[in-house]
Amino acid sequence: MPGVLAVFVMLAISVAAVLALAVRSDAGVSTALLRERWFWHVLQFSLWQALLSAVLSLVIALPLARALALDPHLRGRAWFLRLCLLCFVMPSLVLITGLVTLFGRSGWITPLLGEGWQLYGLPGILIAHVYLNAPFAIRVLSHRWQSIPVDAWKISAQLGLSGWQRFWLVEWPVLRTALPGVFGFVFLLCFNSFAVVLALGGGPRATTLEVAIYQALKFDFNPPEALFLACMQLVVAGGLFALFSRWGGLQWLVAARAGDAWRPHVGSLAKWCGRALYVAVALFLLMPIVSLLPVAALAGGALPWSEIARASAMSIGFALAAALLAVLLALAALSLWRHFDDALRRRLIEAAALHHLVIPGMVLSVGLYVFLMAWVNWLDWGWIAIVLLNALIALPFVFVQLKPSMFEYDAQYRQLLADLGLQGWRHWRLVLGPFLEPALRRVLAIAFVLALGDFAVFGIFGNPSWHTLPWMIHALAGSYRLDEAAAASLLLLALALGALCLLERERA
Amino acid sequence: MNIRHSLACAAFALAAGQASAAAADLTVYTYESFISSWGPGPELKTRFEAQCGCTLEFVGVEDGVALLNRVRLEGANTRADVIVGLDDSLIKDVRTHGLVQPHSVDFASIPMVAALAWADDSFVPFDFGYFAFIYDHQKIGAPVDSLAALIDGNARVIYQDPRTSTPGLGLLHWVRAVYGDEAPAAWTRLARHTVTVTSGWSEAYNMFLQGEADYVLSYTTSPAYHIVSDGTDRYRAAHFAEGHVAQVEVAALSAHTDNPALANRFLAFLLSREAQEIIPVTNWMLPVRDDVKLPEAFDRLIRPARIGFSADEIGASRSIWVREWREAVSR
Repeated sequence: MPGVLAVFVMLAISVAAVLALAVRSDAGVSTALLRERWFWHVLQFSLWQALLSAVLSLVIALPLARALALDPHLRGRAWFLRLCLLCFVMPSLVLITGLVTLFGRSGWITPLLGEGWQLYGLPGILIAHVYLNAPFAIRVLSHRWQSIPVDAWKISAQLGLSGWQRFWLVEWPVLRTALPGVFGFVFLLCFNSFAVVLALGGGPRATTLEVAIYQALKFDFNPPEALFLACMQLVVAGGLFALFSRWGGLQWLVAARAGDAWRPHVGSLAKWCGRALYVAVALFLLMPIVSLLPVAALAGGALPWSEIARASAMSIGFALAAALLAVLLALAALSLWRHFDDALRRRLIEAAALHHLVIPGMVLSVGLYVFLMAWVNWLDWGWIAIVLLNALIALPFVFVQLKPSMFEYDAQYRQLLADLGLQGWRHWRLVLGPFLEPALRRVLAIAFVLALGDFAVFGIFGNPSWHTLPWMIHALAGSYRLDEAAAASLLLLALALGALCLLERERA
Repeated sequence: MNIRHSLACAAFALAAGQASAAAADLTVYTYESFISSWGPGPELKTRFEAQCGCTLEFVGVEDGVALLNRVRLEGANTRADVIVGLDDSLIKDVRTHGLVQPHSVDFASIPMVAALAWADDSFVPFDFGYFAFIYDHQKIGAPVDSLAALIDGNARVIYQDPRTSTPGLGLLHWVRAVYGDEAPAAWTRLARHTVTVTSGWSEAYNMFLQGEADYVLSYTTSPAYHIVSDGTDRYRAAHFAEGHVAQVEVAALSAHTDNPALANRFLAFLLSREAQEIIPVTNWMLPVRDDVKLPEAFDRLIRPARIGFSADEIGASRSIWVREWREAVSR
């Protein structure tokens, strides 16, 4: 049964990675850090900045997602939603450069911010995290808003509900199911970030647990400490995430109907606020990229093009394979998930698919590397690990977004299917596949973009004959070729954008 | 999105895997930028292969620290014959774990740079650089002339995190060498005018080039890159009266090589005049030989006095220094 196999793979790799590190660390998990004041400070700071970042991201995402869903006159909506995914491939160097160009000492926006403006510190972290995560929230939430059935809008209009009444009675119930999950996701992403936090946070006061894990595993190669930190992260961040997700849930709305795009009238104040926000956020997301253009245009000629072309092909190959695998794993896990009716078993499957969001990629990679080292020559077979681990890292994003579709499908068709006795491949080809297609395209896009930007996994399993683009950007930036690195980063973003266009093209 | 794509891609990855499976006579583990097309790797490979009539394969990892971890993890399973690109702060770890073996290079027969005073029987230096703070000559007419002046002044400074970057570790070493037990107080004073501390060299250097700081931690050789590649001498290294600490990049024979003769030959090649003329202008570090002809830009670099601790002392104190720094700057 593919479902059982998929869940087994998801869990086995994490367990193997943790075991391998635990065995290597003889003494087991080291808890010495618990007695250090520094550790508690870091934990507190990690939580605090993640909470603030998540709240701020949602405060921006909510009105904008609503405008995107309800205002039919917004131009360039499809491009904007693609732009929203690009932040997942943006190398941290590019993001830092871009934000410094905007908000730094001689930044474009700095004169508007008054005398006392100081980017480095909490402002820098929050700006970067909103940049990285609000777009994700916008995408997911605007999709939720769009999923509100036309009939609900029509009835609310017939009943003459006021804007607020409609919001509470029609929109809020739909949002309520998705909001805690999105909040939890953004919270975890912010909790786990570090290169940006360190650079824009103004120094080690602004350190997250992830830095400590990186240090423990990379600089000190101290598996006990790394394991301890990873466990703390799993317990604290994972616990909070589980808590958030419990407030959310699934709700079946009504049969989806194609073609009918009736949208309610939105008050003109709300409409214009939405449009202003749309323009502002689009500019905010575009400007760091635009600020690279002059530099990149000059450096473009100096790029080692044949190497870049090879690296791009490799990146696309790895990312496609990882994205497809992530989607297959999620589908398999969901096929198992829908078999069970009890909450406990469903939650266990969810945990198997989602826990990769909390386990640091570095722990997973190094652990797996060590675990299979004696039997596998990673120089030759590392590409399997690159594809597999990138698939697992993308899996939570894929799983949470496919789950509602699967749920709706069952709510709508389960009875009917039981009557028809449709099973296996025919069921997939005739009914389930077409039903899920739009959702599949969406999650394939996000998984592809996530894997395209991978640097950490490749750093462990990579081999010089399969250089990827992010890896080349890192090498360029590390040897004074910062302008060329910017040019290559633009190329990476362009590749991602091209892939997104292809994925979203055939919308029949 | 269809299955054909995934099949093509799998076949493609498989082909790549097989290409690398054809084992070369000599496998050299090094860091990524060493073997990039603009690094010294490709040229060294061509020249060495022509000399030895053998094949050489480079395997590149992220950086020097990742290199140490890789060989440590692989232990006896490693395919490395030679390890190129560790630095002196990692030597003690490498030795403790028995990852290398003595080489046959005779330093006495080579005109080595005197400041290195190198006599290690396992590690061969192939380039080195002094850490230095770089400033923009067009903005700062009178740069600071000592580490003390930098720390007690109010110029905006960016440096790298010693927990994630080797230059950061170098500054830790430097402050400790100048201030001894007074180092924590010096760190606290520096923290008052530190713009930020980045996880890697490139973020810090880029922020400096964008004008975010007056001084950035890098190497005395950084100005040479700007002179040669950008044609500008506006970026210069501040010469500090207390002296500068150096980073020495070393190569060694893997303890598990099955071809020690060829591996030794490669180490000797790294020290040849031929190789030593390639490395500085591709890796932007200083040669370890005295008799190497370099572009004129290298003559304009500052020549600081070398201070600091031995590789073993650095290795032994690293974690204490990091903790000391962490406490001092987080306050």
